[in-house]
Amino acid sequence: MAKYILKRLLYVIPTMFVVSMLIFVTIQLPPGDYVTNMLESMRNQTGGTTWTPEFQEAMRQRYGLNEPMPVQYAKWIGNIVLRGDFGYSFQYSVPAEKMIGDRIGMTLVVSFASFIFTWVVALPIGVLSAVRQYSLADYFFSFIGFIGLATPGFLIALVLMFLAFKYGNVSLSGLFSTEFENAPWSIAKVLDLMNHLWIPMVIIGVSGTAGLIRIMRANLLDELHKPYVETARAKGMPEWRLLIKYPLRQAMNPFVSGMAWVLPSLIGGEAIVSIVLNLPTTGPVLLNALLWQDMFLAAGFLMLLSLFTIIGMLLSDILLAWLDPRIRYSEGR
Amino acid sequence: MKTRLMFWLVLCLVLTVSFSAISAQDTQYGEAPMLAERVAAGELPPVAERLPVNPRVIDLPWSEIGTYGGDLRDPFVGDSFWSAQMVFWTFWKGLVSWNEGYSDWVPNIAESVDVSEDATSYTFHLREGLKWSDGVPFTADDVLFAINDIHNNEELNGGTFPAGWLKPGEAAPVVEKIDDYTFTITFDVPYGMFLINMAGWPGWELVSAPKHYLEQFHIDYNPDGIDALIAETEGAEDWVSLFQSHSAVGTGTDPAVISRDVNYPTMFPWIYTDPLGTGTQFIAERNPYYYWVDTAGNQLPYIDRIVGSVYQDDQTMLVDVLAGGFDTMANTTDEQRPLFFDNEATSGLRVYPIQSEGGGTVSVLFNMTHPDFAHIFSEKDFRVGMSYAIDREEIIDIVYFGQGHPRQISPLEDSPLYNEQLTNQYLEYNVDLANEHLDLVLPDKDADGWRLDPVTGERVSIVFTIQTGDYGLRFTDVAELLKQYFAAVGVDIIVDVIDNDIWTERRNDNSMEATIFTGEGGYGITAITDPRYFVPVHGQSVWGNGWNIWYLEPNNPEGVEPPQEILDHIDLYESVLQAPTTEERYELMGQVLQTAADNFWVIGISSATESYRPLSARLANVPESWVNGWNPGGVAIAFPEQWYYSE
Repeated sequence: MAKYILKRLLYVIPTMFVVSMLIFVTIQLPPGDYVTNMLESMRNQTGGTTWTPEFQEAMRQRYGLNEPMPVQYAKWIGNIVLRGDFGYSFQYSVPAEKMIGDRIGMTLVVSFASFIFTWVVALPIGVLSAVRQYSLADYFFSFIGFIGLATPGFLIALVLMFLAFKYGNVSLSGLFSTEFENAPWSIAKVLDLMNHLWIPMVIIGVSGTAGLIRIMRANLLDELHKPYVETARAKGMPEWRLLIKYPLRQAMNPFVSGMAWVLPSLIGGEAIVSIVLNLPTTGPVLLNALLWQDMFLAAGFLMLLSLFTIIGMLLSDILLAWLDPRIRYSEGR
Repeated sequence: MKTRLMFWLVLCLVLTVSFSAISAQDTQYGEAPMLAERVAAGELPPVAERLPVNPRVIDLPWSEIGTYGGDLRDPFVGDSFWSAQMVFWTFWKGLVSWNEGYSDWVPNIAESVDVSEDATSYTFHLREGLKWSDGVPFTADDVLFAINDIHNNEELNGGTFPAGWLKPGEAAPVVEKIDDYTFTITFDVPYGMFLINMAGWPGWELVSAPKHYLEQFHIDYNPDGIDALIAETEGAEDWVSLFQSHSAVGTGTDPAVISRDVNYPTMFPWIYTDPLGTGTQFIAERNPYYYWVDTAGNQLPYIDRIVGSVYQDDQTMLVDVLAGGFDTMANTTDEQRPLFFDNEATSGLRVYPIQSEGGGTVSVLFNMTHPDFAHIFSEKDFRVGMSYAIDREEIIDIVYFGQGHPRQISPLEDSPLYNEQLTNQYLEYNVDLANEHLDLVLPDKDADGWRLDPVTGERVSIVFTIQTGDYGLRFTDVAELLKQYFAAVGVDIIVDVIDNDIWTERRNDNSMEATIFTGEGGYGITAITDPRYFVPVHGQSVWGNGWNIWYLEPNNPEGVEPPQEILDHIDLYESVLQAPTTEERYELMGQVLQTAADNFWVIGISSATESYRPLSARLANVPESWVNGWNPGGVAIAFPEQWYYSE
């Protein structure tokens, strides 16, 4: 087991290397660079003052954009590996890792809350609709589930915000009230956060819920009629204990193996919802960084997300092995 | 007799006493409670010491004495310095600034300006005792530092004084200090527009380079200590990049540094105390040293703080604004107008009408310098024909909610530069006339009725490159309608809606065939300050794109050398900028606009519609209306320093 984990950990290095190159090249694919964007924004604002080639050259030099791409890449990856320096965010004029660090905390809070919400809601409903197949409850939740699956999170967010405004005159956006926005952490601020957190938690969580309910239902239905269930039942095992001990455990497999994708998909799915709800998470910053070609910031985020995905996969594989003894680590053929 | 003398004596005494009481009151300045507290705590000098000897007294027709206090909560979309509205709350206050009517300059940081008769030499007299936001005196040395040590430093500027508003001729301006409060700027050519230009955007440069703060980053002033600073600054490799990353003024610098560096001294009414950083909010507090007072001697601004909130999505921002979370919202659109009226009760906002600076809604631009189309687009008959082909009334009804009337791009009717011909020619919707003119340029058609290029013999297909960021002017909707109108006269256009980046790219390499863009040049004398649709000397003069590249960046290979008549036209415009008197300036600009009218380079659609700005209904001292635009400075022209909250 230890050897397997070690080997998997070593695989992370070449994978990340390839990922980093893909990221770096992809970000630079659109025409222009940060300086073009910045000058154009300034040009629109200042009513067309033109920027001399010397000025543009000076800006490019300042941002290190005038070197050939392989050199830029080598510098960038070198700094990350040797010094943990992810480069400089052009837009914010702060080190990219600071920007990422400041935002990733809130992202994890929101993502984790949504993840818990998804499981807490999806598991029991999935079980219920499998055990009571074609019952009124099954139809009801399936219906809700399909709507949830088909409706993008940002739309739910928009509708909720509209209703809240129309009938309650309240704003649902943000994670903090204005007065706590820049305040240092305190009990009151945490309570304020809790007060705001449930909205994104439900909205981001609900779209994942629908999928999981259907998976749970389908898997459990497969298992429920297998002979070992019949046998256990024939031996007089109480129905609920039986359900939880055997078929549910089998049906959990896809849940666990899907966990690897939870974080990236939450962060990805969170982006648009966060933009709509104005949350101080990574999604909006990443999107902006990409639009502005603030490449080190964008690349830093993407690197981190890739790393999370790879580690998540490893974790879910390990968890799966622990959960289901039938899965063995076979030496690669 | 005796009693009478006594009477006069007593009267004189009373008068003297009361007079001296009045003059004593006059020098008694008022200040905000939050500053009075800091004075009492010994953190700040008293208000009389903070203000200059002769502060600028703000006496506007609509203003009254206000009260101190309150936050102005201001939301904005995007998180760059340029998208935050702080630019408008704080900039546009140079040595001189706009008068409230936006028709001329008035003294601001300078108490007065003496202009030489030939308009080459300008002597500025600063207010004595002016101070930066950190309390250090603002003197002539600060302006000299901006011009001589930043703009005129060879290393910082790659050897040459940067082109722009400070260099009307060939040589750099000469700045001489006479004493701490007096200096002279001399140009090599007459430059009548100098103070008008200074009142607009560029004026901030001369009053935003605090010498006492920036000299530590300048090799001439800190030759020994600079290496240590370079070593500890991320991204700095030499003193030039060190200076560029700390200064707001100069080649290669970014004014946004003011929004990040709370130690950067400014002359702004509000100064950043909590910068944006990685969060979603910034706070700017009143500048305790601000040099404006009301007529009763109370130091401005009245409002304590500007609190900016970042949004990612404008619809979310709108909902929050309508729910009453904010005191204003910028960049509102026509579609949102009814929402603001319907929700005045919950939003607490009053809708102020504001006048647009533009000479029209949008312009239709055919790039006369495009290698494949120059021979067609440069024919006036082509442009006239295309103009006749447009059903402007329909565009106004469908796209602009019936607001406005058909109009070309030109100075507005009440502008001193108004040109009737430029405004009203070729507006009629007349397909027959359109065909008549087009037949002169593109006589042949293919089997399907599409016009053919007389040179290549192939169908004329013009790509309209439309950028998605349309400033609320709905370029795409206009383009879709134009496609129908032009098809009806046999001209095929392809509407290509693309990201702003790619639009810029096509403009920069002169591959843009045609586009739809904004309509500047209407209000007052903006045709002179922003001549983009009349003279190809502006980065957005897409109708003469290759020419403006040639003019602005002589070494750029994409540039196209203009023909003689365009060169003469540009010369004429340059003489407008030099003209020493207003009359001469208007007279010469009149000739420029007449040439533009005779050549009909740019097609307009409709008159600019009145815009609006929601502001808290509790705000007092806000003018009934004002001109909105970049050159007047957005809300800056409405003097927000003297707005106050009334209960």
